[in-house]
Order: sequence, then C-alpha cells, then structure tokens
Amino acid sequence: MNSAMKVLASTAFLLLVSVTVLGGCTGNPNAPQVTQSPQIPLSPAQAPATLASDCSTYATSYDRIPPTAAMLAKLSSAVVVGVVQDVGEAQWNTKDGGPPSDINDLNADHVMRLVRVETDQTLKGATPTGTFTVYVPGGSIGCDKFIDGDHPASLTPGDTFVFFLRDTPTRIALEGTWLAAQMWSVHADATIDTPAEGKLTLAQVVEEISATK
Amino acid sequence: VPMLGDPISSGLRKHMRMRRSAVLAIVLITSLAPTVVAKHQLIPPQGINAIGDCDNTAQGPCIEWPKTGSNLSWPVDVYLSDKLSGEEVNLKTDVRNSFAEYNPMPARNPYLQEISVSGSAELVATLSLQDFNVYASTVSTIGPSPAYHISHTVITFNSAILWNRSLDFHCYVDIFGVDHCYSDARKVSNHEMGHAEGLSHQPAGASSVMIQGPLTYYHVGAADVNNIQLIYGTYP
Repeated sequence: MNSAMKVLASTAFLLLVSVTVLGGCTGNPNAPQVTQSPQIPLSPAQAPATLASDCSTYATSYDRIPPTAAMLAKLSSAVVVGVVQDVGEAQWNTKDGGPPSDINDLNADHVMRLVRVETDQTLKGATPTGTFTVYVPGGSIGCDKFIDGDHPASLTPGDTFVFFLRDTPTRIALEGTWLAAQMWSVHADATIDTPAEGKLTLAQVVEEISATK
Repeated sequence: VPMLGDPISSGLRKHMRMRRSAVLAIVLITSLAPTVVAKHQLIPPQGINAIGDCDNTAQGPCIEWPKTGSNLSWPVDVYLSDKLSGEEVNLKTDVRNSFAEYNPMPARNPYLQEISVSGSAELVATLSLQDFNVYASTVSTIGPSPAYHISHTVITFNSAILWNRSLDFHCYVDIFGVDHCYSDARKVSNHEMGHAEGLSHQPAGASSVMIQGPLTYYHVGAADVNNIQLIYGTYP
C-alpha cells in the first residue's frame, strides 16, 4: 500500500514537473506565452448587451508627454510591426460581460476588440512569430461608440501598425493575448505620423527602437 | 497641504531625498509634439485626440455643451470626488481655481458650479490609477442627440503621478526600472478643464493651456479665450 502511494506520488510529481517545464512556465502567471493560440475566438459567443441610451460617443482624451518610439519601446514588453488579419466584434471587458453599471465607467477602457495580427517584424521582446492575437481597447457596441486617442476607431484587415505591446490585460482573463498599449499606423508609403517626432519613416522608427536594446 | 510660497512640501522633499540616494535619475525626453489637429471632424479617423475642435469656417459642428437659449452662461454641475482631497497637494483646490479661470470668460460657455452630490453631476473630477505615463484623461459623452452635444464628462487625474505645485512635467526611471512622474497639479487641472469645456489640443507656440507637455501655458491664454468664444459665442 505504502509503495503504491509512493509510486503514485512520484508519478504525480514527475507529471507536475513535466507540465511546468513543457508548458513554459516562467513564474509569472500574467506573462504572455510565446506561442500564441490562433484559435482564440475573436468575437463573443453572444452579442454583447447594448446600452439603453440613444447612440452616444464616449470619447477619451489622454494627456501625457507626447511619447517617442524609444520611450514607448522602454515601456513595452514587446514591439512588433504587424498586419491586421481579422477583427472581432467589440465586446465589454467586464467580468460579467455586461456594460459597467456606473455611468462614469462608460469609456473605451471597458470595451475591447480582439484582433488577429500577422507578424512582419519583431523589434523587441519574446514576441510570437506568425499570427497572434491582440486586445485593442474601444469599439462600437450597438449604436454606441467608445473611442480613445491611443487606438484607431476602426480597424481593417490589411492595415499595418507598429504595435507597442504589454502583457495580457488583468481586468479580464484573456490568456494568449497581448494588450496593444499603443499602435502607430504605418501608411502605404511606409511613413508614420508620430506624436512627438512628426512624420518618420518606418525604417527610422525601427532604428530608434533597436537603439534602445 | 503646501502653501503656494513653499516650493516643495516636506513630504515631497523627503520622498525626493529618498529617491536621490538610491536612484540614478534619467530624465525622459520632454519634447513637444508638433500636434496634428484634425479640423472640423467629429471623429478623427485615427481616434479623438481632438475633441471639440472648431472655428468659424468649420464644415462640421463644434462639440459643445448645449446652449439653453440664454444670453448668459448656463450652469454645469461639477462633483469633485473626495479622493481629490486626500493627496499631499489638494487637487480639489486646483480644480476650484481652474473654475475661477473659465467662469469669468467673456463667452457663453458653461458656468462650472460645484455640487456635493455625485449622482446629479454632469461633470465629475476624480483621482484614480491610470497608465503610468498618462497624467490625466477626460472622457466626454457626446450625444445622444444632437450628436455634437456633450452630455457628461469625467476627468480622471492619475494617482500614480507625484502631484505638486513646482515641479513641472518630467519622469525618471529608477534603478529598478520603475518610472516616476511629477507634474504641476494646477497646470494639468487648467488643461483638463479646457477639455471639459470642449477645447482640443493646440500646437506648440499657441497662447494656450491646451498644449500637451511642459510648454503648455500655466494660465488660460488668449487662444483659449478665442476658442471658447468660437464654440459658444460672446455676450451680445
């Protein structure tokens, strides 16, 4: 009986070690996994509840020292140049999946879109190769729009951005996704309108971020 | 609460001494953006940094608090959260002082009137933890109808900022890689109250509190008065 329990305990221990090692556990439960699952559903299973209002826009203006690419790179877990592949329907990011009950919480910070992105270049961090999923604040639910100055109001497949990524958002469990803390649109002529340095080429931005390593 | 003549409060001084002894200060870049202002667009395609931007040649409407038909300014009730009074620098005082800059304007802009009940307030000012490189944010509810009318506004000051009345915008990274950011509370309050009135960001060089970053005016400037008058009109 005792030896059977020892065998069972040893097996359980080895299984735990194997899961930990093979699962790539880093000790930080919030750290994004390097291998991203492309199978995360982008849209909610059910249409999100709409507000009982008559179509308003909730617009957030953030005030900060306009950041350079180098500043944002320092604040980011990862920086990726990527192309939008698919965009999910906007949804509430509250725990119960419904709209916030406090009128003062009705803003883009409580709404999200899940977006599938194809990596073009990894500029910083242990970022995924291939396709990965980002969490982009804001979007439209029903006829209400939730937008902020850091994220585009609308996203279209084919759009290219420099994504400044953070770890998985803590407000809602979205394992395998990254938070797009900020995203800079790359125009067709490979230029970017930056908040602090005016119009730069993508190559200049890449060089600036690379210099921060 | 530090007096205006006291350049740095004792608590802040102590805080700074502690930091200095252990920290290699790296002042982050504080250069100003050549702000791109999207004129006459209700919702700029890439977001809404420009809320309420308009002028006399606007193709679209200004974003504004609705007029009541009166020739005089109309009241917008403001609730100041108790969180604002618990800081070393009392942000309530700074917000009240900002009222005193906007209320006497020669324009029919809203008269900012402090109340003590949050539920009935059209404008709420509070303190809460935000992204650490954000000083403050303003959320304006625009609509429902007409679509360009502001119906509710929430100003949030970032509790992660070391608010004071002498050290202007700057951040440094300590030896642990943690950011610390300072800012003058009154300067930011005047800026956010401009957003609440319907003003958008202004480019560097404008005589305005609505410039982003350290070169913004301390007090409401000529460009701000002009823009408020463009939105709301002057007294007859």
